[in-house]
Amino acid sequence: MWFEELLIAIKHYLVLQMPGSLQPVGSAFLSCLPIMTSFGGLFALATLLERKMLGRIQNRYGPNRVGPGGLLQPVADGIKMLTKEDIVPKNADHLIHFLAPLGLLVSAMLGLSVIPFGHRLIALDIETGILFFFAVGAASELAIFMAGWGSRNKYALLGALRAIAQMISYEIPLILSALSVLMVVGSLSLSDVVQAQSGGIHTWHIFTPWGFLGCILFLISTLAEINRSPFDIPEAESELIAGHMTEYSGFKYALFFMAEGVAMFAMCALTATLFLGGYHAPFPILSFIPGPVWLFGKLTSLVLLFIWIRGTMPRLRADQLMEFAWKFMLPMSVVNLIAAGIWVALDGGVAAWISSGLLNFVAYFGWSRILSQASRFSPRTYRYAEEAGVSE
Amino acid sequence: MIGKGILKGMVETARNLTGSFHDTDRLTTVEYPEQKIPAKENARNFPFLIYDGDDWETGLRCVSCQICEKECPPQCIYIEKDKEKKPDFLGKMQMQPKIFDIDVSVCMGCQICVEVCPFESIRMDNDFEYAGSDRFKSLLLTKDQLAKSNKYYHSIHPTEAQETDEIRVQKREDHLAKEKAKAEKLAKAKEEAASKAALSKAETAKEE
Amino acid sequence: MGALGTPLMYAFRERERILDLFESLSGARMMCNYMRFGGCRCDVSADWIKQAQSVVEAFPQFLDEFEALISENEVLMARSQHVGILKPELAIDAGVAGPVLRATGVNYDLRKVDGYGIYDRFQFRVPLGDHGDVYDRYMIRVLEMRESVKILQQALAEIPNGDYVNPKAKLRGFRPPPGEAYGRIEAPKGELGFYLISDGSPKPYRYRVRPPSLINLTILEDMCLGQTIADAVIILGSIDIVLGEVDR
Repeated sequence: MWFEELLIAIKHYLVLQMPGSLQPVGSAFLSCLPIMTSFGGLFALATLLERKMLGRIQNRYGPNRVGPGGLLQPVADGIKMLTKEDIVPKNADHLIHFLAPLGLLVSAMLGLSVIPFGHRLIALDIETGILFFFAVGAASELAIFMAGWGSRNKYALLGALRAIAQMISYEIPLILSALSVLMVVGSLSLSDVVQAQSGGIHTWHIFTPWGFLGCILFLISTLAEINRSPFDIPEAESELIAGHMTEYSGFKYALFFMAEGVAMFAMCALTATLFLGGYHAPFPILSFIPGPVWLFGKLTSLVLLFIWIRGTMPRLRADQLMEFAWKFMLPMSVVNLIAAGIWVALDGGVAAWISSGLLNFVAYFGWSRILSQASRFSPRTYRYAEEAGVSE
Repeated sequence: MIGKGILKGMVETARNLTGSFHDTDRLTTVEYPEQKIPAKENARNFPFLIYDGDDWETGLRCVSCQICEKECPPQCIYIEKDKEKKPDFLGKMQMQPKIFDIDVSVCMGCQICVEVCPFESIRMDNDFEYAGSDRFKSLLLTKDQLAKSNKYYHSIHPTEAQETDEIRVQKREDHLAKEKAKAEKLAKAKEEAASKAALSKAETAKEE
Repeated sequence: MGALGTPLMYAFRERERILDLFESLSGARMMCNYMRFGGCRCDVSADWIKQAQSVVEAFPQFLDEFEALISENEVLMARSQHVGILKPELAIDAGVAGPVLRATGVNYDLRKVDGYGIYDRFQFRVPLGDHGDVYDRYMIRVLEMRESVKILQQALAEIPNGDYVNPKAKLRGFRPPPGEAYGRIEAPKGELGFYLISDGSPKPYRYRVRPPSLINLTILEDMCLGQTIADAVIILGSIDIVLGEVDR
């Protein structure tokens, strides 16, 4: 707690130094500044981490030329992006073309404002925090469509439509799986959600049947929502041109990636808040370590998980992606909602564990079996030709 | 069940991720400009011309017979004969190339020129670091760029160079033996002629 | 199709080991130029055979790893099964050969059909597919790699001592009698044939290569009909063409 109290005290001191009329603005500014700077820097480090880790997964070194161990690689990339020519198509809608990357970045940054980074350490502590988060998250779809529309390029427009179709489809399981948490906690405020998991690792929502499935569904939807592999159809670099980013170059292009990175952090932070105990330590003994450290630790491990998935998975086809969203994710999140309802009705306890766990388990295995039979894919065995023509 | 194969793959990538930190079998990258893999003895890349001694112009083994030019499958060799001749290692007067160009951007390193060369003149180099700012000129190697000493040849392909030297020693011996035989034959013929002359002289003297 | 080429990088890792063997034996990685009429260009050392054996022995482990990574991956199966189906009749009509043909279920392997070289001395099986789709073509290749390892093991154990090249063989400058000849082998991509007409001079009168990739590529359109554009990429990949050969 001391760390959070210290930060808050510093902020109050600085606000009090300002003239009275400026105090509300100054307070907001001081709340935003750490978030914006830290996540901007974190994004740069994350790109490096991602490339390094992907390299290691593929038995390579990854970037290691610029600076010690490649640490300055993001700086070099940034300079490269800044010095590139900013090309705007002649017939493009200049205003929309210009606003799209900004809108994407702003919506991603706004999502971070309702995440509690520590006790009372939250930029915008509103009662409907999670609603706010999803509302500004939905604004990113608008920004992507602006990018596709403003470019006046049919490929960009088609890419934007694909991206929006994907994001809207996955928004439903995303919200439904988050809803299970809200049902159990009984509040839309993220501070309350975190407070409900304050008792240590056993109170974390991921260690309940509905929380476990919900967390997995939430993570998968997150992958689709921020256009990461295996759902990176909008900019499938080996199959398509860059989708809605086709007509962007230079720093605007970099802004798209920055927005994607910040959105990834926001989503990971929300996952950590909803399912992994937020800023709380796994064991009460360890609570002398400040809350933000715990949150960033959880966030980083989730980012690492995303990179790991990216290094492993091939990409889905667009129609299979939709099929997966509507035929698997949506039914499973509804089932998960029922399981959470059972949990609430039985008020926790062993009976709730067994019944909701059984429901989720049966639903998952049964439904995935039915689905894989319906979509006709399965591991195969092969026969061998013999000289006499008798197969083995 | 959906997810089993994916989990299997994730385990595999995790094994490679950790393996690349301690297992050199997995992390096979060699950081090129700083580290280099020592060239294998058999390694070959592009041909070069050998010269004996210290001066590449007088020691060049090539006699511009143009066999390699004809045999080269992608036809990357261009030779023009010089009008002036120079003695080779046997002392015979031989032709020499005025122009000997190899376009290494065309050469595929097949080694056929090496196999057909009857004068042990063209051999394969293992230098692969050809880079130039120019697309055509810097990759068109001329005679002076191609000429490399026999010592260099020994340093890159020791066994092969040894064999080549042995062949040349053998050739020289054969040549010397031939010369000797020729000289003996010549001397014999001279002797015979001399004795014949002496004989006929004596005969004429007798007659007188 | 994504995954940032992780399987590709693993395959490259193993490929380097094989190319290193080529380089230490013949001097070049790709353009080996090692075969000669009546033998080989130079002798192999005992050391090289040992190295080759260790590479061959390690190879099945790599295949296991590779298959664990993607063979049962649901995403890969969903992408490649029942995609780009090639019917056996069409495959035969188009003259397709190699793994693409065998994935349709046609038992045709020149190593078995012609039994050329010393392949009749080796024990190996020919895997066949049942569906003729992209996944079958992938799996047939993996299974054939496993069979090839068996062939290599048998071959390495049986390398005889003695001359590496027939001393009587004339290496160049022959004059084949007038007539025509066709030789074919089972190349990794299909049937690689060479057709020659000689008029009795050292240079052939007519000479034609039957390229496997070009002929396999001709059925791309038939396989892509009725598929989505995203599938075209993996169908093209599953034919495994070398564009240098197609574009000759």
